[in-house]
Amino acid sequence: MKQPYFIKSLLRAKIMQSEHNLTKAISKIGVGILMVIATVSCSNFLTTDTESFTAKETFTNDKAWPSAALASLYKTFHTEYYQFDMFVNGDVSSDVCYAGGDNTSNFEIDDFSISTTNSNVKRDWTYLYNAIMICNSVLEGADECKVEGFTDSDRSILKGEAKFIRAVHYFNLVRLWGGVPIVLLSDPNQTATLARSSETEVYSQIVSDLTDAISALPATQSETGRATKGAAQGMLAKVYASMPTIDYTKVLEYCNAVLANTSYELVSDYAELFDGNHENTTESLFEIQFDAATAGAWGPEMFLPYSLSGDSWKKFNTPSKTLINTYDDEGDNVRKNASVIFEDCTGYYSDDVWGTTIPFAYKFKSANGWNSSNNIIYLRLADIILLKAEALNETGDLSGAKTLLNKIRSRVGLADKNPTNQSDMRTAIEKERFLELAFEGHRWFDLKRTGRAITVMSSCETRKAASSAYGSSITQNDLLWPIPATEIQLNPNLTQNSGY
Amino acid sequence: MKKRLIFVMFILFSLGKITAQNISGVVRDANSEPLPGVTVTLKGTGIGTITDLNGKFIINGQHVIGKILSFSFVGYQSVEKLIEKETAFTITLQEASKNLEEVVVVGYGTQKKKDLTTAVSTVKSGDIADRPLVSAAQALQGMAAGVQVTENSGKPGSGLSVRVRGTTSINANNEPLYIIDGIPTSDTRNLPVDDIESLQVLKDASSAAIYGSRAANGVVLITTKHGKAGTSKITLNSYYGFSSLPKKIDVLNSTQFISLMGDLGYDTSILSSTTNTDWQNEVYRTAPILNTQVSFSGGSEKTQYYVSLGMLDQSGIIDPTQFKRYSLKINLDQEMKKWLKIGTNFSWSKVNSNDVTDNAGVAKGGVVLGALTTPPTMSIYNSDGTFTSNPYQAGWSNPVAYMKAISKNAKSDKLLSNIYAELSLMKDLKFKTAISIENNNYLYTSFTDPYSTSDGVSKKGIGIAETKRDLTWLTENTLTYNFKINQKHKVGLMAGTTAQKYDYYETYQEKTGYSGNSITTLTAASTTVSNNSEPDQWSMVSFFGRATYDFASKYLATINVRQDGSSRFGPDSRWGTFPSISAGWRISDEKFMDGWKKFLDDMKIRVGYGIVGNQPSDFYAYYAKESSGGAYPFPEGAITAIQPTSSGNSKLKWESTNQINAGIDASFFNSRIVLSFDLYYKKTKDLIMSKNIPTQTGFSTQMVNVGNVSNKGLEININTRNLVKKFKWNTDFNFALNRNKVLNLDGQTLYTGEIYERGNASIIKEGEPIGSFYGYISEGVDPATGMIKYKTDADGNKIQTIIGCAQPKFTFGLNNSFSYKNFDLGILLQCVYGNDILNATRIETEGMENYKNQTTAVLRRWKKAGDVTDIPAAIAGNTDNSQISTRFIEDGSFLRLKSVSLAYNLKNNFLQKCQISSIKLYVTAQNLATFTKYKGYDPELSFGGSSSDASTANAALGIDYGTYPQPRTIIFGMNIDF
Repeated sequence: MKQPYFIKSLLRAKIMQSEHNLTKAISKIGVGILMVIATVSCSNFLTTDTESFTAKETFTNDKAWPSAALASLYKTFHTEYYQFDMFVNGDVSSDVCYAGGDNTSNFEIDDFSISTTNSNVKRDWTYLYNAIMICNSVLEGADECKVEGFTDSDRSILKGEAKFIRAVHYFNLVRLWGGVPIVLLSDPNQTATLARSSETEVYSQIVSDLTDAISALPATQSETGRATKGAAQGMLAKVYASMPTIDYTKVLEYCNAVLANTSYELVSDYAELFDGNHENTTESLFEIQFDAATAGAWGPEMFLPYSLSGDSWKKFNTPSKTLINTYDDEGDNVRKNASVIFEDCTGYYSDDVWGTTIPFAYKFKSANGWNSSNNIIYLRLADIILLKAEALNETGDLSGAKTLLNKIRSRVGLADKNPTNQSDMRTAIEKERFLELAFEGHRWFDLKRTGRAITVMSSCETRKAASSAYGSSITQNDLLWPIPATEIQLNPNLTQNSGY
Repeated sequence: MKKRLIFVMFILFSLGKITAQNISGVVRDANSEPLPGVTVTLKGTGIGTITDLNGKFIINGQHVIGKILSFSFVGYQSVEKLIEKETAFTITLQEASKNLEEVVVVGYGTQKKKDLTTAVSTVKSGDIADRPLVSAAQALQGMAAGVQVTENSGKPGSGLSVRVRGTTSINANNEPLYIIDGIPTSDTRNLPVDDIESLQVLKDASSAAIYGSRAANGVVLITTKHGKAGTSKITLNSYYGFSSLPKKIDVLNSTQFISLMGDLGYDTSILSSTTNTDWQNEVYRTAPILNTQVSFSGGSEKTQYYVSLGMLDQSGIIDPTQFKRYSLKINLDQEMKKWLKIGTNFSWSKVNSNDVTDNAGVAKGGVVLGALTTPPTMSIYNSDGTFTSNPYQAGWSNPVAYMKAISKNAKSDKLLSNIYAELSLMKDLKFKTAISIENNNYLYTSFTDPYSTSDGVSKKGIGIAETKRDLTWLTENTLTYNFKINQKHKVGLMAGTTAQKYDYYETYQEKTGYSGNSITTLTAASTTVSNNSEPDQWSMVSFFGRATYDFASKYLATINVRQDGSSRFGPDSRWGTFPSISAGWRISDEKFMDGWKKFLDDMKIRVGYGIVGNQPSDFYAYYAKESSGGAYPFPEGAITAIQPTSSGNSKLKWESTNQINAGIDASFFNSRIVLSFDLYYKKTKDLIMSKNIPTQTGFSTQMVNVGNVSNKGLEININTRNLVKKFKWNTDFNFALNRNKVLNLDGQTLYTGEIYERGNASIIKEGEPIGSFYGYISEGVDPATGMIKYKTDADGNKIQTIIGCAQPKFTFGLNNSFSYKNFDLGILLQCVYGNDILNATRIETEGMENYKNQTTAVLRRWKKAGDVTDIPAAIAGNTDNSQISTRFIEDGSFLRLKSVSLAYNLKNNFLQKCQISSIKLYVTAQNLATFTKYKGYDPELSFGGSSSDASTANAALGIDYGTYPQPRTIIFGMNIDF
């Protein structure tokens, strides 16, 4: 049976017309098909919009780059490392507090039984190296950026800030793990197989970055909270005080450099430092900024009791018996009240050491439903003053040390101390730092750098019951964390710390 | 008999159109039994009818001489009869020999099954009827050799992992491409199974290569029902039933729990020994399921229609999980002119579902683990009406609190539609053009009340609103030219082009700070936690062609080629070319086979080779991205950070799978035995991987092309018609085995499937299959210490190695259907054999390290030196005994009575008087019994399958970490044809 196909019906309709018309009809259809093909094969069609991100290769010459890059540097201080983990690492490891909470990783840190799969260990490694990559990326971008209005002076300051911040992150890495890979480029293809450098090499890198930062950074910045010359000098003093062989001359040099800047002053009322209403004070050398409206902190929620947070779950970083007893023995009510709050937790939970009336870490005052405006004071003058006292004591200036020690004590209404020899002065300064800087993430690193960690911790009570002590469960190996197991799997050039 | 005749006469008279040109007759089957329900049409007129209970029919029409009568019936070969003089016919329909004359849909066209040169599996509507199936993918389970379907969980409407011939990719997609009536889509949950006519799975590269870059994991072609000329039929299908938890896990009662807490050194005075709550009873329920579908179909010679309306309401065995779907389907085909046919396949559906958290520990709100680990000493409510929480850890609310206090609701609607036009340009030359649209709108809202859970209290209530909207358009143009030379050489040519674009937009808002729970909208919340938007796009352009050659149906060959350009690659590596070739030889037609003719109907050997591609699931994978890192709040003014978030790789290129397939199709004893056998080898090269890289680089992953994966296996399909007389018995058996191996990963070893606080459980390593488990080797409990002894190396370090594999050694499906008189019985058995499961739920329920309730296995725990047992001591805070190890690896093999269905078909005069042509009543049990050694709820699970992370979804197989268990479902249904 013959079917009247489309073309045939065309033919029929134009039966007497010339063949030319048929060709035309066919070519019309052909052109139609070709047009469809041509339209779609346009290569533009295969280039899609990138609205939710920007390509790195073009971004450095975007007008937005200088400010976006600046913010990215400081944003590295909003990670879990700086909001929460640095207080676990600095205080739970020490005699300031117990782990609290219900997190096995934190228990392991508290108990000096850290496994290579500990999730805090893994995430802190990741957070710090991610932060370092961002610093490296900004340093590379600063040299490439030719945006109008981005002056050489801007470039120099931005690089100074990047180096300061990179040094802070490396300082945390080296204090936790010892020697680590020194990564100075943002391209992963060039850094994935780097092996660990020695602890000394890492410190040299930190000193180099901070030295560059000191010369590049101004004494004050247009935005509060940006790194300054004083912040870099203070950091460098701490770095020199933490090296395997402490260079007290250098510590003294950089403490003096900070103290020479008369705009730094102790705040007269210690409690004001932590009341949430007085931020970025004259005592603050470097402070991490939070604001509930734009970028709040979730960290305080982890510490504050039910009455202040609304949480009935067990909070983290429970103050230790040792700490509370030391405050009480010293009659140090000002600092105790500013740092610790007791609450009756009957009906919610009990603590193995404290029972149901439990102290809570209280240097942050507002939880605000995981969205606190409380800043974190990362480095403050009292730390530098006590560091200088230590350096003076170690270099033979007992009376100079005493003056500074008592300056810190008198602010909180405590009587002067009068240690008569270098050794007593050491103990006095150590105790002063313990009480002054509790819950600020310093204690464990202070004990480590002064070689006192094992001695102090072995006689300290554990989180399990007031009567039990760590004893011989802490050894030299516990002073460094294990390299995360997954990192060694991925980069076999990494070697594990001894004991893991 | 007489009565019936009168009845027929009555109908005839009632039609009132009896003329001299009435055509009448009777249709019988090969056993001379009358065949009711046969469609009889007078071709070219649109006139038609259906045979009655006695197989009789009457058609009246004008000028019937010279016209053709057509008889068709499902499962029988159609017959056409030219009307010469006679007007009464006796027609015998032969049962369709399953394999031969069947037409199967292949990419951009159809082919007779007997002429296929490739590996294609077919599932027809009749094979999957009467079962409570939510989606097409679910219907494939146990039905097609080499297609492994795993339900990720037992949640209603849960996602499925479908693997056609194994896992090919580590980071790109492993799910097959679904083509519903020519429209590509990735999810079939919106299409009711009742609307499906057939499913074809294109398994090998030579069949799938016409879909090029999206075919690496096979292609599932779904054809929905279309109207048939000369009929008009109303079908109502409805079932109602219940789902329940088939198996409980024994956990400690209050006394036993208190004793355990005592052993752990906790203060047990705060526990109530008089309360003994069975949390599994509180969490699980018997849940109803209701499905109703009504369809109208029919048409004339020129117009055919199929319209259906459906509603499915399935409640889950954990309150408030629910999946509720409303659907609408319209298929229209119209011959406008002799040279022009147009039509549309339109479907719209709306899904409303409620969710609870599973695959998570109690601390993260996991309800399934909550049901197992919540202390029995707690009651559900405190005296003040608030929910209780763990007496030792107030942050751990009881599972009922998580079920009631957190609502998670998703509403989505989907439009999947196309319009096509087919022009007959010249004899044998056709041009087809189609425009398709897929449009998805998704709205997710969640509200956590400010009173009941710890998270809710501290944040004063949490509200989430998420919207996702996408639109995909596709144009397709194909030219086909089929011609014959000397009647023996059949040639088919096809060429086409498509262009496709996907456009997506997502918003996500999360707020906290509600003053109560009466108003749950975000407007009533005070603090913004998150307020984000994300647009995404991709586009593709393709050119493709196919040539088929057929010499006397004896020698067959097909060549396909497709070229795809994708926006997901950088400008230099955008285009991929995917060719394939296959050939078939009908050996049974050769002279030397004549001796076999007595029992061999047909036998064909086929072989094919082809390359198919795969592209990254990340639309922008090759970019080194800088993305927003949030604001930094300098007091002088906040500044938004933009920072590197991915490492990028501009050289990223197509992942490609080369596959060779060889098979035999054979049919014996007049199609009483139909067999097909396939062997294949696939090698996937240049795997697109989001490779874990050392985080010292600042990045955790990088997209790369690295390594090879191979899959090889065999598939057997045997269909037998064992009994064909009054008592009918058919058996469909499908068997598949697949061996997967990672050949090369450039020396890398990858890890995934992270268990909270225990590290990665899955390893991807050269020489090993994907889905291997990684952990320690447990040597049992040391009677001296009560600690698990792990195997150590010479230096005393614990050995971490491969401790199992989630890939089965083989799978099979066995479907037996029986029918006798009015009864039909169908029994589907599904078997998965030789796979391991990491029962990580037991890490939580036998870990004995904190305040969680445990299973009764821990009654055997070590208590004092000298105890010889398999369960270690209870030690607070100790995770060493519950590391990922062989202790938690179990045999995951199972044999499941997947479906048992008994139906009674009713056809009688009374019904006919009521205008009802037939009624079917049925009862079906899904997952009636499962035979397994697995200790958990159910061995069918995929912790990773529901993950949004590609490598977790692909490689973290067989991990049970509080997965929502598969329910047992029993339904009672009714199917009425008018």
